[in-house]
Amino acid sequence: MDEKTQKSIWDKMGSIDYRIIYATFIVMLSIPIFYPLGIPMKISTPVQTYYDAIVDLPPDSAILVHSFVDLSVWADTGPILVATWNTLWDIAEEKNIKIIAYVSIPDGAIKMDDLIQGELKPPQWRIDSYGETWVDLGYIPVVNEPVQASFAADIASVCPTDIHIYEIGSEWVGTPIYEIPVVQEVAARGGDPNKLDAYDFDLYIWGSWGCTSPDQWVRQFWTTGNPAYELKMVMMTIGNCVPNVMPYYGPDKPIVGFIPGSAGAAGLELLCGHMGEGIVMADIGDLAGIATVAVLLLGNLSYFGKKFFEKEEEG
Amino acid sequence: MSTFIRKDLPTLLIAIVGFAIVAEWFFPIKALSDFKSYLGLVVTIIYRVSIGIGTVYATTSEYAVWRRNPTKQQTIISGSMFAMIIIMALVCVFYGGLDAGYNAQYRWFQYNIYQPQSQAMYAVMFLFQCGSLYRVCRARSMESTIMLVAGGIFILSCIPLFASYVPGISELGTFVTQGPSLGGTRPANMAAAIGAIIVGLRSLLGKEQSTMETT
Amino acid sequence: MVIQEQIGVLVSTILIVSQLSLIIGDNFFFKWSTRLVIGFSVIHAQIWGLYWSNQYAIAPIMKGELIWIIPLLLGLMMYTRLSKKYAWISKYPMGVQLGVGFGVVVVSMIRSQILDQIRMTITDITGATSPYALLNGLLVLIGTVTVTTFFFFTREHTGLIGKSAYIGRAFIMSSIAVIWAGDYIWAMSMLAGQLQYLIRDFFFGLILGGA
Repeated sequence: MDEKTQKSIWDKMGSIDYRIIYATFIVMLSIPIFYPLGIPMKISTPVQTYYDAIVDLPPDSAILVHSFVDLSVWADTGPILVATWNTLWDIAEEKNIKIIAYVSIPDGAIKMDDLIQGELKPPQWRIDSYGETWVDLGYIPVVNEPVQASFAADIASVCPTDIHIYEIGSEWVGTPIYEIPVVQEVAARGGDPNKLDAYDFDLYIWGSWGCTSPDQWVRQFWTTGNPAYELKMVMMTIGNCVPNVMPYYGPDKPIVGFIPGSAGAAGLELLCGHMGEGIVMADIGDLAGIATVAVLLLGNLSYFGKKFFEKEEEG
Repeated sequence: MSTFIRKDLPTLLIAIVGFAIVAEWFFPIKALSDFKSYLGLVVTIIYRVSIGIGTVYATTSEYAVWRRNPTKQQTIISGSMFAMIIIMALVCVFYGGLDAGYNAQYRWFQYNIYQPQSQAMYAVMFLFQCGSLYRVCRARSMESTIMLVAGGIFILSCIPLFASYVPGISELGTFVTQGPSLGGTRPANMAAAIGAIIVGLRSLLGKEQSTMETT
Repeated sequence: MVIQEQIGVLVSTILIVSQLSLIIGDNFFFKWSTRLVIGFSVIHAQIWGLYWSNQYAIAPIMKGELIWIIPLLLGLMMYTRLSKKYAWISKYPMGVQLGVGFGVVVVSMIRSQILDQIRMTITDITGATSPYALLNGLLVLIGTVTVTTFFFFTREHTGLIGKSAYIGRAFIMSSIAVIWAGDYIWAMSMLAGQLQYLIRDFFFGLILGGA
């Protein structure tokens, strides 16, 4: 092969039409949808610690759950929420774990209605004990930091009544929250049965796809308070927020576990035993990963090939 | 007097409100705690009531875009936005009023227009990232090499195929996030916090005029 | 599938394909579909804004809790921004928001984002239980010091500070690399979700009728 052909090969490698790259990725991502691959998975440490934080809670603990539902990122975060609630529903009745839940985005107000009646249907004993062992307060707009400060200090200041919209526990809708038995019981843990605040909980499960959210939540639910609330948290998030979570992640730090997107959700599904969309996403990710490596190699081979070839010519 | 009402009094208001909340941290008396809770809700109500400004800006800017270029194509594009606003407004009026957000009709629009569309916007972003991955992620300099290596390791550690079959990749991925990446993020967080505190204190003391300027 | 669902799937598919058509270039369908969702988002934000204004302000005022007139008035004062002559009135509600925002953040930020971060940087080394943890801790300490020197903009980056800032740049790049890689994985999931919808719900569900 002559020098001119070798040069053009490196050039060709480095200037593939974008449309071919797009088409390649679309085809690679589509294959597992037709033919699931079932490649084994490794569960990462943050996912394992997220799961352990929930299942290793001692009996009579109280969990505050923020159901993170945002339809614009549902494909990535939906599997995490579903797997989390399945893990919560699997907690044995004997452990007497109390759950107080809410959603903070309008999308969640109606999506939770569909989920609770469908794939997230609680076990019968939870359905029968709504108001006594768990409650879903509904949609509360706890999104900005001043409201979070009020929420952490006294949940009733932001959400005075149960306003969830689905059928389960509908007899409690409109009830002032301090008349709901589970709220009274959890509030009494902090000494004042008429004040439900961050001191009363053992674990806070929350989610966000804002990369400044870990700072925000840690400020309002760990650092604030006199004495500080120091409420342990586990977080549902997306992949690009991992560096923002890491400063607060650790066994003796505010965030004891987190799940970064559907890749992590697959691990949680394996741990809790409820297979769902996370595993499907993991499959799709496998072929996308192969295409990613190929594209990276092509680009860098072209760059180094041209550089080496030009150097050789000059030499 | 005019300057006092237009500039000094709002600045004084920032200081009074801000210091009251800071004081609650050091003197957790009930009156201050209740005032802090009240202010938290005040901010929410201000935000919720003033959302209409966004509506006004969105519609007027789209109208201005159409006025600049009143072609048939642009008329259909801009018209579809106004048509959607009118349709959704009618859905809200006839199906639930202020509770319309909970209704089945509203839900249909949310699941079949809003959800797929907003997710598709991010899906398109992925394809552009693939293109940039190919074109930009080449080891040309120290910075791009680190980006290639660290980013590549993290991507591979998140993909089950590589995490399961390439020995050490997931441990390397953990090392990258808990080592060099944390070493970069932590001081950046600290620097941002110091900057925010300085701007905040300057605003509370009335020295940060840029935060109070309106156009 | 009932007819409503079928129409919904068809509409969603048209919108998804219109949005994905951006990869071949800016075109009419992309712009049209974007405007549709902006139109929906405008009303979406507005209706929930009105819902919560009613829940938190108007309904309590009707019950006699007149203290909620203040935030309602402050919220209405924000609309004066639309007028050049009276825009100064909106400084009052903005002032309240700024004051509350800074107040709730300032003190807790000092502890959680500065003092605790410095403490953790040191305890990660002193509390290391394995050589790997010690290496990590040392790396984080080096990164913290060097990146801090990178943010010294009041001194020229020459000599020792220059070398330190250069190393700090490397740590910042690794952090940016992880953010970018996470973004990549996230966006991949979004495309995967859309392709799943197109294949399962549109192709198999609607076209092939659930086959």
